[in-house]
Amino acid sequence: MHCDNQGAIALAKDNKFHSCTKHIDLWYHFIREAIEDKKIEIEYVPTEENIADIFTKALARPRFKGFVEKLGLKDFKRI
Amino acid sequence: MDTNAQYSIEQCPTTPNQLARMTGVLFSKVIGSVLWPAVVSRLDIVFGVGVLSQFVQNPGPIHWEALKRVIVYLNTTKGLWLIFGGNSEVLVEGYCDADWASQKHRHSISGYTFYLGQGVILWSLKNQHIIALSSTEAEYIAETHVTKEALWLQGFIDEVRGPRDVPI
Repeated sequence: MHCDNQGAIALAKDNKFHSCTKHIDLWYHFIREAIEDKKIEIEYVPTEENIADIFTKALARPRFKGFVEKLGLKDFKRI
Repeated sequence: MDTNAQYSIEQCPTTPNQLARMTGVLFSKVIGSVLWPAVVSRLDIVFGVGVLSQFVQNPGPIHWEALKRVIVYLNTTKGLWLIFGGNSEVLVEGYCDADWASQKHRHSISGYTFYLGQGVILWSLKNQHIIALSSTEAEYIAETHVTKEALWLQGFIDEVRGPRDVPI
């Protein structure tokens, strides 16, 4: 699994308690369990390459087009 | 969608005059017809449709204009097909992201997508239930959201091709 936020990755991998993250609902620490059981692996990916970006914000045309290509949406006339 | 555009409930019509201007606009019908491609194969319009479908009950002119833009985009790119497959080893890979409070209601949006080989097989966009206080928290919540889906997907794929001990 790829994510573009180093802080969130560190939190997911590290089972220690930090007072700054006290407010995060216990339920959301479910990911730590999954990583501990080696069911998922989490890796960093730079924002420019994170394809899930297309689902969370309106992107400018060049980046949008690049992502559309990467997602496997291709013009069938050119295949 | 316009990169700088903000869509919020304040833009919805309230006075009788404004409401009269929006009568006869088939907003919900059009949303319904663009939702279908967004769910089935056109994952590039998921964000636009997801944001605009929040205003189905009482759409304003600005929402209608944005929706028309989505339709124009669909019309100009109707040749796009979602291609599955690829030559590389078939692995499941997930990508997740969250915007932090980009919308006026301040609920972050989490989005994710899963690849099987080089083809996309799953995607989702969702408003988070709680208001994240930092971008890290928003991403963390998004990660949890993906984990749930990843565990289900792993179970499904193991069932289809036999269990393997490769984490997603």
